[in-house]
Amino acid sequence: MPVNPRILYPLLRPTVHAIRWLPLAAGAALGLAIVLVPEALTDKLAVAHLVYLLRIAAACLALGAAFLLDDPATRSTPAVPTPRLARNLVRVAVAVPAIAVWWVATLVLAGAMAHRPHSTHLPGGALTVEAATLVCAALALAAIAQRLTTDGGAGVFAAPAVLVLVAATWFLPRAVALSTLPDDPHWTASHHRWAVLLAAAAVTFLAASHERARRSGRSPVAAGHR
Amino acid sequence: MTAVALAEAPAVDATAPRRAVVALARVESVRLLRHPLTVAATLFLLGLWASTWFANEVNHFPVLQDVDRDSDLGMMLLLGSAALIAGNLAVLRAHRDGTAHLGQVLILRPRSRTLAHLLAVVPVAGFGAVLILVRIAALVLFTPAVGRPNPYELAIGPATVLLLGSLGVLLGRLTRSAIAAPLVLLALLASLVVLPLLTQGGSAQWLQPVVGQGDPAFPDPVPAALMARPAAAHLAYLLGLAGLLAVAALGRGGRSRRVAVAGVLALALTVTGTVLQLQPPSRAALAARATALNHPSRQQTCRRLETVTYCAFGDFTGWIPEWNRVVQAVLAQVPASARPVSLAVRQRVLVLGRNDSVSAGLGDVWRADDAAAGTPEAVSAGTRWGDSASTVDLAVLVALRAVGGGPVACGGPGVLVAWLAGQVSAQARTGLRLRVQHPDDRGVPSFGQPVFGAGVPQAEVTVALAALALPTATVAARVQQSWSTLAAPGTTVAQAAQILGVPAPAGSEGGSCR
Repeated sequence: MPVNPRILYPLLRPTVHAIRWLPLAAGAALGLAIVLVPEALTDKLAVAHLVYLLRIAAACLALGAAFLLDDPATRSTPAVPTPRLARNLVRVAVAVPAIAVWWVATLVLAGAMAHRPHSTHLPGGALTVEAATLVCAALALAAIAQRLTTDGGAGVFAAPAVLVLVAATWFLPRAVALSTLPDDPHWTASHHRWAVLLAAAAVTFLAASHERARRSGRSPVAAGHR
Repeated sequence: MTAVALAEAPAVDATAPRRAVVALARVESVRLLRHPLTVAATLFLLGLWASTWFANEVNHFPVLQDVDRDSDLGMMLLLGSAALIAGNLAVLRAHRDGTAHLGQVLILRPRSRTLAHLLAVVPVAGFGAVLILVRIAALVLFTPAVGRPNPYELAIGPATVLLLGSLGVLLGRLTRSAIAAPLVLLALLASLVVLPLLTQGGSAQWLQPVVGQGDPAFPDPVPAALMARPAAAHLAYLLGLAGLLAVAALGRGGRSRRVAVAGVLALALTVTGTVLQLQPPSRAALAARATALNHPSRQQTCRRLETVTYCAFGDFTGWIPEWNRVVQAVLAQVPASARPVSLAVRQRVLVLGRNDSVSAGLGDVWRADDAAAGTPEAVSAGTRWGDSASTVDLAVLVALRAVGGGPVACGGPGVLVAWLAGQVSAQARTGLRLRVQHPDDRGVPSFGQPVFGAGVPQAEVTVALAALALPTATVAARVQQSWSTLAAPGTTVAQAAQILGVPAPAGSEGGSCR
């Protein structure tokens, strides 16, 4: 069903109130602590350890993002004219700036607090691709959960599923490994694979949010009449 | 009428709450075991254990006293995480479905419900124990595994599942948010990355749930009697911690004497386990390590197979037929007149001192021990087997014994030693090739441990590798014919290459030969 973009602007402010920010804030806070506290405790952290800690922080954020699509009013919204895809995109548009700011802040702080030889070697761009893929995968899983559940509890399904995906990325065989280290010859190739997964996650999110047309014969009056 | 009805009122069944707890625990445990997370964790765990077989050839000859601790980390990360999150979701289910108020009119109080959730984690831990036992049984039955697993070490994996499951139930009682358990799990993972750096292999590392690293004093596997890992104390520590978490989850429902007593017991168990596991290895264990390092003959049993005596630690005697295969393959190409009269192969372990050092007089001590045991000039074997490095090490040392000469074999003897070692198997050839690519500090490919090891310079090994590319029968015939020339110390590399029928190496470098 085509959507008139002008109806989405009034949705922005109520969506900010409707989103459950607590899980996202908790995930972001824990992720930041995971990166900063070890650096304060010991100076023996190598680039490999920082990469692992940043990956865990990205996973924390993805867990928080899995709760972005939670909506206790799900049972009353099938009747509204705004499609679910549009509502989900508004939620994502509201939350993504906050997520991006947090990630950049974490990378900058990790680099600043890391000890001299390592701060210049943190592969920020590659880790950003990985973090973006995890967040996108969390949103895709939450969208799938929206199709499967009727009580609006998408996060309860999506958060453990995100952890299963993260575990899967650690246990892949070497030829298609995703969790490599910067000095590994497969580093660049693995990040091409991450980019492919990012695209796949985005497409899954869009496909899962899309509501099927309930009836095949649509009245031509209903389309575009707002 | 009313009096009759009152007189006939049935007595309340005092055991009803206990039976209800058990019934609820049974239902919840079935749901936990069937949960998609548990199924996924089990599949990942089995896949991980199966993949170790293909990751490294050394794993085809597993040492069971190392396999037991390797299994624990995977079990904690996978099955323990599943117990944590699924257990947490089970406690939160009533809040999610809006039936928390309905639960209040049933006969079970919240504390009893929590107890049922805690009991439901026990079958998951039992399932973990079954998985570990199946793995050990599969290794014992289908592979040439040696050694003995420590039963306390095997129990540590299921104990961590119990610990994480109790943590999940506690988190469910503390907060209704479903994100708490996954975040706690990720914090635990981050601590596993950082804690080894903070503790640096000292005894404080035993405060972690699972210590997957071995003792830094042992670079290679060692007999189980020398390991002195405080596995029993660590198991007590983990069970005590699980008990404390369980008591914390139960204590939310108000005071109860039974819960308080259980809490005191759990605390006592935790403190005892902590104190015992932080102790350094006992004096008896340190003395046993010193004996194993300096006088291994006192702890080993010997077997004689076809003119060769093999001496190994009790745990590793299962590998003697494998060693024999390699030794006989080398000796088969040596002319009968040149074969050593009494050849012995003795297994040795390295116990590193401070700063990873080995004492300087170790060679003399080993020589004296060999002479006292009646196996002079024994060839050293290690505690690893199955990969190309261990095969080529043993083959080179035996070939050097047959050809004669000092620890560095140059010229003709060097080519001969390298060829004898390489013709044993394709694995030995791979080992030779890898040693040429990774020589020691002086640039000489070295074989065996630094004490009683051997070196063969690169030019000699390259010629031997070229000879190994030719048909074995042809080269073997040439070797048998010209044995005395090849084994003479004065023969140069170029002459040896000519005898074997391969092109001589470009440039003559005699500098690496001493």
